[in-house]
Amino acid sequence: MRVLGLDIGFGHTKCYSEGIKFKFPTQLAYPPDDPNMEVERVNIGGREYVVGRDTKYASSYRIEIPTVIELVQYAPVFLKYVLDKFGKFDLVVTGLPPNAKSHVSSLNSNLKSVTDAEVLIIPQGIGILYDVASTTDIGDDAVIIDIGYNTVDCIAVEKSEDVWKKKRGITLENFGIMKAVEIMREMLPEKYGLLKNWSASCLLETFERGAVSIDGEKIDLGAYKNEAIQRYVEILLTKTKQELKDSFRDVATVVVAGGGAYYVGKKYFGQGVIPEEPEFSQARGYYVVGIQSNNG
Amino acid sequence: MSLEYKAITVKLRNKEVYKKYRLLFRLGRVVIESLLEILFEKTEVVELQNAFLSDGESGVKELIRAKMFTGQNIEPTNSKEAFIKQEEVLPKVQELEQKTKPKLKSDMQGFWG
Repeated sequence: MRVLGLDIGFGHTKCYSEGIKFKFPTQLAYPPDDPNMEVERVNIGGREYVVGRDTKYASSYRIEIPTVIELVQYAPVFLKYVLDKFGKFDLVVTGLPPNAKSHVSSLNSNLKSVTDAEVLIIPQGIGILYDVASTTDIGDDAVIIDIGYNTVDCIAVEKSEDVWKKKRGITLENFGIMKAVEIMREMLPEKYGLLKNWSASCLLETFERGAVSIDGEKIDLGAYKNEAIQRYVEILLTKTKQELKDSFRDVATVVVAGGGAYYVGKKYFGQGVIPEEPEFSQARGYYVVGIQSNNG
Repeated sequence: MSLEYKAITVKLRNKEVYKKYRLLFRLGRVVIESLLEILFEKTEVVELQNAFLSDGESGVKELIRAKMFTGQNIEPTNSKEAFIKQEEVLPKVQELEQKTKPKLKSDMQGFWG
């Protein structure tokens, strides 16, 4: 049985399965009218899209994905892209934010339009729980912090009679790693004014590299990046503690995952667990859920 | 007579090929154009398109290998299959590990909201 763990985030889509660990930007566009342009095309019902990194070759035809509604609408395009690359699956496990349960049935029917596989949609956060708890002893209670592109999801969980349950969950909108990028943008001096006008996604790439080349000159932004991360983590940590209150204080383990976990050291979260390649944690956990559900 | 060039963008996916291609500094066009000339002497565009329609990228690769190396005793390989076989080694172990691990239980419905 081939199981696919599919985590469609606002920043990147992550896939995990037997022999597959793959991520691509959650971006799509209509293909440009240039027959010489070699871009991978995804065909859905006769309509073609360009997906992932190739969208930079079709920037004028780009379709934005600002909310979960568009994410659900275009999810089949991203799944089809993965199926075209890696072949058929028997079970696709994916997730939605816990506050988006009302979108489950439309996501299910949208995904089923491009695959014969069984589709299982579970609340986000469960993936990270299954990924971490299946490999690490995290005690009987934990706070899972998933630092994404736009949002940070925090779930306090506890194990009671061998069953993991949610105690509390919050979503911090606009507290994802883009906030650190914005902080860096604010800190840049006037001589780098050009960067201040860049789009968020361009600036994210610069942030990740910690440097930029302008007119052939390489500019090191490492100091600004480090300071921005430090400020961001402090803001995020205090906000999380304030929102989760007692759930955070008494907890045995703090699990920090998602792409933003790369920037947040364990030192900030006490007994913190950062899974290996944290951006894949959710997708890996979806895969575990799929394998375990298949085993009865 | 002025020479007119048509610019094309080709994305190379094979890292090893890409590394060697970079070493061709300023020779990229003549190398690629020569290869295409040889290829088009041996096959028609429609054959390549048909190979893609029936077997995808691996079909095109096989057809090119077969056409280019006819009579040279080089066996075409299905690179896609080779890739999958190579990648499957570790994950099959991972899958087995997952199957033998104690099953986690959770109140999934309770996580919504």
